[in-house]
Amino acid sequence: MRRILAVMERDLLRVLRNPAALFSSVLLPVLYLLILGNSLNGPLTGLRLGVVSADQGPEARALLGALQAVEQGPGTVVIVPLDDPVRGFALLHEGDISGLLVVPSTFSHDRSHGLAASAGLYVDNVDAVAAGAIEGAIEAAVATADQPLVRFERGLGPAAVRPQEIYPRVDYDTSLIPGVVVMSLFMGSMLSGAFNLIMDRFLGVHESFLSTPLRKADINLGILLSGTVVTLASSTLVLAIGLLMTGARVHGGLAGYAALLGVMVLTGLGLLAMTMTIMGRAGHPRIAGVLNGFLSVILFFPSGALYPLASFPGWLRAFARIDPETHAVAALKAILFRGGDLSAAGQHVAFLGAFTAVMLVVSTLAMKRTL
Amino acid sequence: MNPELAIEVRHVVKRFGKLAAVDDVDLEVRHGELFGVLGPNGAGKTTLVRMLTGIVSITSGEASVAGIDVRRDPDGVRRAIGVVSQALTSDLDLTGLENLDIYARFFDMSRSERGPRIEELLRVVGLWDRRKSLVKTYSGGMRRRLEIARGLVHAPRVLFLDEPTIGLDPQSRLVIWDLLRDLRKGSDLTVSLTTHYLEEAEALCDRVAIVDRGKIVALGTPQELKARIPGSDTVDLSLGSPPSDARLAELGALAGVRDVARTADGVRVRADGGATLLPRLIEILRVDGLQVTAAALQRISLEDVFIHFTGRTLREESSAAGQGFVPPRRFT
Repeated sequence: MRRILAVMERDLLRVLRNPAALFSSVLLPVLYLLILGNSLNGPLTGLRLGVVSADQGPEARALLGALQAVEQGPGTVVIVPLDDPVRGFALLHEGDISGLLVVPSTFSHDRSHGLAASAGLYVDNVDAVAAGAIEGAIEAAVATADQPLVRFERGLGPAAVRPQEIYPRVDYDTSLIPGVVVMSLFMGSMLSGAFNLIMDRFLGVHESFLSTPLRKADINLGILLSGTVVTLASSTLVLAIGLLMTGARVHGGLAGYAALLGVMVLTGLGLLAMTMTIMGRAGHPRIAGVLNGFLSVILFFPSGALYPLASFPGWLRAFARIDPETHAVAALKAILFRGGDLSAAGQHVAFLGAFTAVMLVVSTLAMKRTL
Repeated sequence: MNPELAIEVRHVVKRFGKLAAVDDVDLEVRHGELFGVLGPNGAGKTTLVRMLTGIVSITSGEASVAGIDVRRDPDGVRRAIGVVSQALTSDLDLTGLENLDIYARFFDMSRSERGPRIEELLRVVGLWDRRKSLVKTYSGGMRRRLEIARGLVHAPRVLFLDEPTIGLDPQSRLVIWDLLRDLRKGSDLTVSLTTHYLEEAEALCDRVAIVDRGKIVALGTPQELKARIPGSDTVDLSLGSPPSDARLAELGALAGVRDVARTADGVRVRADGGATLLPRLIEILRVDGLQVTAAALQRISLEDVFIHFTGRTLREESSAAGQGFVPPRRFT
């Protein structure tokens, strides 16, 4: 134990006396939260929709009325009334408006005579997300435009689905907190742990370890524990900043905080041991740099930190299920947002525990005790 | 393996692919000896030391250090030896004291053992006053002294020094030499010193092995090695007047003298053991009342020994890349 602690203390002292690198493992996730949280914040609003109506009939007016309701309500679209379809297309092409609705002069006539009436909707599908939102808004408007008549004839009240959220409301930026905490754990594990070992080897300092009675496990555990302290410190800071920025609260009191720290320790140690397994034998820091970028992408984006797993294709979902960051994000989300019921995180914590244990054993076995 | 020997090497080979960096080396170092391994860069010296210190594996052959088999009990060997490697390996971001304290803990030394030992060593190497300074503020010579102290912190029986003065200025080199001489006073510490500086081997070593292309080409005390070269010393004597032929013949008849010749202002004698012959030479010349106004003795150096055994100069070899094994990736 004395030897493990000696390796750990040495590693920690070196990191603490060069703290610049650690700032990036705090700063980047916080910036991520700030930028992503504000740019992808919830449903889209304010999309400019050009409307050219050549029809003054009742059905056309009903449709436009329904669109105005969308404009006033959810605010998905802002209606830009236009007289000339040619001018409308020009604006669409220039990106000034995101969609153009053209209602032909025969619209009301055809509808009222039981014929299929169609209006033209042209969307700027360069931006698929905005195009989808406009299509959705217009479909809703068409459906609404149908309703008054039905209700009047049958005398029924409107049927609507009113969402009931079972947990306290989670805004998009708040929902990013687990992701950015996991990101800081990942970055911390890349900037400490195996990276320190590779630098020691690169600089020839490692040789002084090899001629002492230190065993593989002493070196590995010492470096991993020091890395855990470092990653825990930076990710705790990121968590605190995230909670302050979004105003979110940790439910479950002290147990909630303890559970968060537990998941963070387990995740940090697991990622550090995984990194040590993958690049513990590398001799040049550049290898660490390349693998860092690669691992960051393949572990973070499928983790469900930004987008729900359910929307992934099957193969990506399968990968996500064995991605430790997926379980880390899910466990943190469960603890942070599911009202302090820690059992919701159980299966994810179990996965992280098993993953970390396996990686600790493999990284120790894979460690090279000679030059 | 002989427990009487501090280092014993039998038919040791190290191969990197097809290249034999160390090729069937035999070596015996006695307890308390300061043994030098001399050779150009790439001769296989560092590889030999790394095998003995358990840092690289031995391809074939047997080796023991402090009576412990290197292959069977590498951990036992590591406890018995101290290593000061060629690259500066102390941590720049730690203080001198922290460097030694953490290293001592690698050897499981308790706090009460560490404290006095570290203070003693830091005082010996002259760094006690700078113990709380970060190593990055140390000069190269100070750093090397710290690393020698670090190599000794667990009181090893054998100390391996790999090029301990490489890259140091002449003054720092002399400080290290004095330090090594002081460390051996009243101690039975065995030291293995690897160097490509001839003057270093000559100044410090009890015995020297000359290594070239993975093999030991000569072994002995510096004096023995030099004596193996015929006519190794040149004595130039300046005289008040020219010597007689009879006296020159008498000089030429002395045991060890190889050649006698007149010079512009006196005589030149080429001989084995010129220093011991010098008083006798002067005595003979004085018989005729000749006055010896100046005497110069040019002794053979290990450089000459190296040329004799390898056919090449050490300096040429040092600058030639690609001989022997590929040096490790490192900054020194």
